[in-house]
Amino acid sequence: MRRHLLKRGLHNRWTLLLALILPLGVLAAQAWFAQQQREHGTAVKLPIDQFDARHLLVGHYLTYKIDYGISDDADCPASDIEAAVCLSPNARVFPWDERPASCSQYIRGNCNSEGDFITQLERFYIPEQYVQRLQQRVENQQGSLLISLDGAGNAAIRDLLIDDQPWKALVKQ
Amino acid sequence: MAGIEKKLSAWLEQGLISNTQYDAISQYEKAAVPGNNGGWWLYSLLILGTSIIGLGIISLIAANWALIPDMLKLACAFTVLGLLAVGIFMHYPRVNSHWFDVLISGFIVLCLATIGLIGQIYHLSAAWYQALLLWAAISLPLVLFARKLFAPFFWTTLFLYAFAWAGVSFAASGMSETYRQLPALFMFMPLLAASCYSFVRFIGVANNFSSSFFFWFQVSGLIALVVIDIMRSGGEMREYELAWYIPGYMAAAVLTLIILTRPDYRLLNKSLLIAVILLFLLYYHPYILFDGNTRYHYIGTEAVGSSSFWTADDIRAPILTIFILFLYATHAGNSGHHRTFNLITFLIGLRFVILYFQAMGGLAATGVGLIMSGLMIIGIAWFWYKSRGRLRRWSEELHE
Repeated sequence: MRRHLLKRGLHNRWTLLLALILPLGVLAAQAWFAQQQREHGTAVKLPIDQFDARHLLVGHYLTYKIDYGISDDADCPASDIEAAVCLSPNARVFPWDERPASCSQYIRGNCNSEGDFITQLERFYIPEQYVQRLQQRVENQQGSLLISLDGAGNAAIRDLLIDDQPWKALVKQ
Repeated sequence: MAGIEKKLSAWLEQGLISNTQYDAISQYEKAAVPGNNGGWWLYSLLILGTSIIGLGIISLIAANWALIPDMLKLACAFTVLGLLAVGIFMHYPRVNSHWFDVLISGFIVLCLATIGLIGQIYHLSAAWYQALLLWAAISLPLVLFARKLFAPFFWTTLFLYAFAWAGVSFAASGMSETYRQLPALFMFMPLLAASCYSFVRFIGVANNFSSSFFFWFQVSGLIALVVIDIMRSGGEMREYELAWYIPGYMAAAVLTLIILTRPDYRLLNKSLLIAVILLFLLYYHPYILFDGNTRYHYIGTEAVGSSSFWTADDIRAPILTIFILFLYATHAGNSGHHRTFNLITFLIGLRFVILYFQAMGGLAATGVGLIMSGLMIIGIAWFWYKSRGRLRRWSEELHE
C-alpha cells in the first residue's frame, strides 16, 4: 500500500518533466562553465614533453608532462598533498595552505607519492590519425600547451601548440 | 503466456477448474501482462536498434570530431537529447507503449555520450568512474519512470561498477596499483550491491531496481567467493592495506544495520546473514584465519607443504567457502527462495568435487583413480540430490 502511494505520488507528468530537465540542465551547465573557464582566464603557455598516445573508448587522448620550469629543490615532496605551483614571480611548488601572498599567478593541483605535480591538464584529446605526426613534434620539444588561468588557480586547456601554432594548423598542411 | 494456457488446459481436463474459471483466468492473464503478443521480442529489437543508433552517433562524432566545430557538436547532442525528451514526455500517458522505455533508454545512453563529448571538447581529465557517477546521478530520476527492466538494469550495472571503483579509489587516494587493489574491489562489490538492494527494498519505490541489484549481488558475490577461494587456496594475496578495504567495511556495516532493522526477517535470518557477512570479511583478511602456507599443489596426491591439515590455507579456504554457502543456502531455504537454495546447494556440491581433486587430483592420472574419481562425483551428486530436500525442509522448519 505504502509502495503504491509513493509510486502514485512521485509518478506524474510534472515529475517526469523535472526528471527530463535535470540531466539537460546539468549537462548544459557543465558545458557552459567549461566554456567560460576556457574563454575568460589569463592565457599562459607552458612547454610539454614525455608524449604518450592512449586509446580511449570515445576518441583518443594524449598524456604528457608539463614543464613548469621548477628546479629540483622547489618541486613536490613525495607525498599526497594538495598543492599549488606558483608560476610568478618564481616557479615553485607550495603546499596549498602555505602559498605566499607574493605568488600572483598559480595553478591548483596535487603532489602525488612520486613527487609529481598533477593538475587536470595532463590530457589532450586528439584523433588517432594525427597521433604519429604530432608525436614526432612533441618528442622534438616543439610542443606547448596554451591554458587559461583564473585568479583562484583554476586552469583550463585552450589548445595544443606546435611551434607556437595550433595543432590543427599543422595537420592541415 | 503459452505456459499458463497449457497448465489451464491440463487443470480443465483434470476437472480442477470449470470453464468459467478457465476463461476468467485466461482473460486476467492477458490483461495483466501488457503487450504479451510477442511484445518482448519487439521491445528487445527496439532497444537493440536504439543502442546501435546511439553507438553509431558516438562513433561518428569520435571519428570526425576534429573537423566538426565544438559548438555544432554540442548543439547536435543537445538537439537530439531535447527531441528524445519531447518523445518521452509525449509517450508517458500511453501505458502499453514500448516506445516510452525505448526512448528513455536512448536518452540515458545519449546523456552518457554527451558527458564524454563535453569531456573531449574541453579536455577534462576526470576519471571514467567520476563521469559514470555524474551520469548515474542525473539520469536516476528518469530511470525511476521506466516500466521495463532494461533501463534500470543498465543503470544499476554502470552505477555499481563506477561506485565500487570510486569508493576504493577515494579510500586509497587513487587506483595507481590497480592489480593489488582488485581484491578490495571484489570484496566491496557484493556488499555494495546487497546494501543497495536492501535499501531499495526498504524505500519500496523501484521494483526493477531491486531485481537488478539482487542479480548483481548474486553474480558479484559468487565471483568474489571464487576469486578469494582460488587466491587463498594458492596461499596468495598476502598484501593488505586497511584503506583499500574501508569502503567494503563501511558497506558491510550499512548492510548489517539494514538487515537488523528489517521487520520481515526473523532472528534466524538476521543471524545467518550477519554470520555470512562476518565470515566473508574474515575470508578477505589475510592474517586472522590464513597464514599463506598451503598443503597441496593444485594437482598432486601427496602433501607438499609443511602445514598440518587443519592449518593449511588450501584446506581452510574451501571449508570457509562451503560454510558461507551453507549459511546462505539455509537463509534462502528458510525464506522460501527455492531457486537460490538449489543453486547454492549445487555450488556446495561442486566445491566438494573441486576439493576432492585438489587433495586427490593425482589419482585421476591412473585408471583406478579415474574410476574412483567418477564414483566420487556420482556419490557427491547423489548425496546432494538426496540431502537437498532434507536440508530445505530443515531450513524451512527452523523458525517453527
